[in-house]
Amino acid sequence: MREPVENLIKQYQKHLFAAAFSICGNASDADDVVQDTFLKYHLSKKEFSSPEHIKAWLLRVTINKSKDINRSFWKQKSTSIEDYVETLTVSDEDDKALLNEVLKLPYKYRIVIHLYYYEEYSVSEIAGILKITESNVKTRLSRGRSLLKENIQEEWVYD
Amino acid sequence: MINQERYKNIFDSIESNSEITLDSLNQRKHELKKKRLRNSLYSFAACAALFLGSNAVSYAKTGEFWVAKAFNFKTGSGLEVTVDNTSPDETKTTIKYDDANARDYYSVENGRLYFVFNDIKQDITDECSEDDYFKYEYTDEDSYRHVIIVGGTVDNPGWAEFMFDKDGNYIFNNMSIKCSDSEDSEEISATYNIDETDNSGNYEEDFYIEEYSDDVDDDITNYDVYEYNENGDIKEIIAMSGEPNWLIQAKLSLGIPTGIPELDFAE
Repeated sequence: MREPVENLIKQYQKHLFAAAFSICGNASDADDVVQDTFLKYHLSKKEFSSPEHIKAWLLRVTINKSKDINRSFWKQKSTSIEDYVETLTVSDEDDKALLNEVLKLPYKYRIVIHLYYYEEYSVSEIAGILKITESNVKTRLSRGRSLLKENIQEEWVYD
Repeated sequence: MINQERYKNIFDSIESNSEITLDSLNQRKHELKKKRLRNSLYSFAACAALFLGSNAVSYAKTGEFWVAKAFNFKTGSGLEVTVDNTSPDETKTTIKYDDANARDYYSVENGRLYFVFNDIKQDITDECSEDDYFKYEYTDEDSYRHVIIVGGTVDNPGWAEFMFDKDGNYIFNNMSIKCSDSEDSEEISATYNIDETDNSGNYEEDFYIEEYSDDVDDDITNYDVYEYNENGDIKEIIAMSGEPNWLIQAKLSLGIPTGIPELDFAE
């Protein structure tokens, strides 16, 4: 099956943007990633087995493209994370602090944290999307939570 | 409020300002075709450490900052390294690279590949291929040795520039290449003598081959080779998927260090 890209944009732009932002750390790069992801779908002739398959594919492409941007060491966006977070519409100071610390995590942890907490995927679903083992997912979730707990002095529930 | 709700609320509050439509996608497709494809095979931290440690680098204090010497490449791109020593607790190094108006060291005309540098325009078509390259060297006014490599085919050329200080130490690279979309993992494994893929997330290992695919169902088609530190942060990228063989051969011939002294590069 295939869905018209216009439908997917309405349905998933926000999701893909959030995923890209969690990895790139800024809205400008995240916007580029999301555009490129939908463009890739638009140009692809791939058939999908279900709407869930489409979403997983879109997220996977978004994650890969976000990682590509992060690997580009000659990024000219040199604003610090703290300064950038100040420009966002996050009003609560505790939330800003949390966002700061999430964006400072190594991206390997950020990806699984985002897929788990925002997209509400299970460990096994995350493993399928990222093509890694469930054990690896749990390890990355655990390490990410440990770092967050250390830096914001807050316990993150291991659901 | 549970952690999950809080996380979702935070990311829901960050909005994109971009409106995506079919027209914008088609415009983006057109822009991407014209975009310069660049790649760098050396990490920020390693580059900064080598560049700033170079005997040829001089510093000038400007206000509260120490500014390393800016360097301008012959392509028109520029590099500036800034070291901020104002905080007693940390030293912050920022590298800015500007290639907005950069040119290439080659041109393609009438089916022929030319090396282009200052007043030089030399037909190098027959010297270049997927596996072969043309090499040009010069020493600049600050005693940096530059080795410019142009390789590839008329349909897919690329260039790389490697800098060495007056003691012969490799400092930095600058390049413009187009990576292929896919690569046979066995080829790269053979080149770098890496026998197996480790997807366990074990960061105590020195090297980690991360494999990923754009399709959750297909076999893996892309991968990169990273060196990680003990915190799981990328320390250095050893190789990137799609690196052309002419570039690999050039690096080997120049003895560019990869941080993997035990690997056998013989091929």
